[in-house]
Amino acid sequence: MRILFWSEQFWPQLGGVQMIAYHLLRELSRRGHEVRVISRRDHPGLPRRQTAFGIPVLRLDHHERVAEGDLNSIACAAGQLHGEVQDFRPDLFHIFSIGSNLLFRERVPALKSLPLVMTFHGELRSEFPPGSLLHGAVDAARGVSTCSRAVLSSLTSRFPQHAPKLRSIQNGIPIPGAPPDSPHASSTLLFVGRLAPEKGADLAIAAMPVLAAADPDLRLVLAGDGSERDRLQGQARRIGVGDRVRFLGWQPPARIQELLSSAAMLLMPSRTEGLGIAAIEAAARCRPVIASRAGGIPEVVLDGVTGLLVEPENPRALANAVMGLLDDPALAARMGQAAFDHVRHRFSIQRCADAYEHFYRAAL
Amino acid sequence: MFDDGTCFRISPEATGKIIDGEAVIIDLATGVYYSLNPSGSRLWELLSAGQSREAMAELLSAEFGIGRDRAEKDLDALLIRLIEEGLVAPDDEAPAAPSQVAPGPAVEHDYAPPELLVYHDMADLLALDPPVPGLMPEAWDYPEEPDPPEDTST
Repeated sequence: MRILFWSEQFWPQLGGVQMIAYHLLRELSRRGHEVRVISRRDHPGLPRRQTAFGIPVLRLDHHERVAEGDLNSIACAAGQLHGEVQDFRPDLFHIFSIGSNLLFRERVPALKSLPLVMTFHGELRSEFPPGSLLHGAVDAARGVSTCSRAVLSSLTSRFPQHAPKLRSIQNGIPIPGAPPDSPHASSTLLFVGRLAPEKGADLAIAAMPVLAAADPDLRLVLAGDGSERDRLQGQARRIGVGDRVRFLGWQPPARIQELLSSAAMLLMPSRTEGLGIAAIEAAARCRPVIASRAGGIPEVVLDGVTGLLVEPENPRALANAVMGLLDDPALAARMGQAAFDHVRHRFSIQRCADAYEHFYRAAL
Repeated sequence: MFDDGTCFRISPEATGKIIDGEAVIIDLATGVYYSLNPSGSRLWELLSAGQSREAMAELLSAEFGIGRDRAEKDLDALLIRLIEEGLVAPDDEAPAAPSQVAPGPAVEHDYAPPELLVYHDMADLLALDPPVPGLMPEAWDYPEEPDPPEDTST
């Protein structure tokens, strides 16, 4: 099958959606599908055309140009997209992440005529009235997938008339056949993700004074970057834990694996979350996850089995849960093993790619 | 509704371009995007060229093979929508540009009345997945793992 795959942000940019796109497209390629990617050129150093892990990528400057209302550049991008479709002749158009790309889906006839499927990675918080580009795309799509059952439920409430074509395809990653390493004593708590309000890094920092009083060796390591970094660093200093919180910035996936292996557990105090790819990665390395009960997280983190769930916005509850596991290493180890077993069965890339293949076939 | 000789001026905040045969318009003040179907796109071109209402109605009638009364009615309906959206305004003082009436009918499309589509969600779409400022991202690969497990959950 020839799949035109549009992901607004894509490799080598880092993030959960980019990670899933990477794993999914590699697996689909292995299975013999031909894929071409359309993406955004968010950094001037990124080439406009590139072959990434064997997959041709076309990067457009459309996000900025649409924001500026630069219709000449938009017309130019539309022409490039027309040429891409003519050259590739895809069987299917998969909008894997939505954004200003919906304008091109609507306005470029070569794209509009393709069988369309879409994926949603989180709940929609804006109104998006009937007649909007989003409604037009969902109306036209032959299939719409969500990254979790939580997002599916939210989307079904918004588009009840389209319920028959909505389905949840949970994300997947490569998971080894056996646990790669076992939990060990560690005083490191790890946070992985964008430093944005919805990810709740401020809640992990807010839990640190209580934790530091209980365990003087405890450290919080944050791998990720974003608009909140300065504010978070200020928060850590202000509440007296500046020397216990390390900000690493973005780290490549291989380094994230090392960080997970050397951590006691992963903290995911998100305010909203589509599914929580970092929680799957932690579980794949036998690390328990302490997370907020938000979005799709409870599908990955089984409370009391593979980790602990706390209510969002509650640093005290987060601290108590962390202390509970630090005080009971045997329980933490059992949860880590259970987490591995859970994601091995539910969140493997094979299972995810099987579901997408079925989804694609149903749309043709 | 409008006098035959009325001309219209396009808002200085509005910019439009024909992309793949249809007009895409943006109001730069609000960030709202619009599009017009083929007949509406042709009228946008004529508005941009400073044509009077009379000339536009004549062209619509000639080019799309519809009666003059219908052309005037459909043209007025579009003009009202464009004025409601703040994209154009009547300009009684502007001199009409020379008429662009074609020598004979040339129907390029099945006729559908001019339609203005309004996309109020562009700002929300742009906010869904904002660029993350930072250093030029470096190429990465995921660590290779041993052979994946058989899926035993089904």
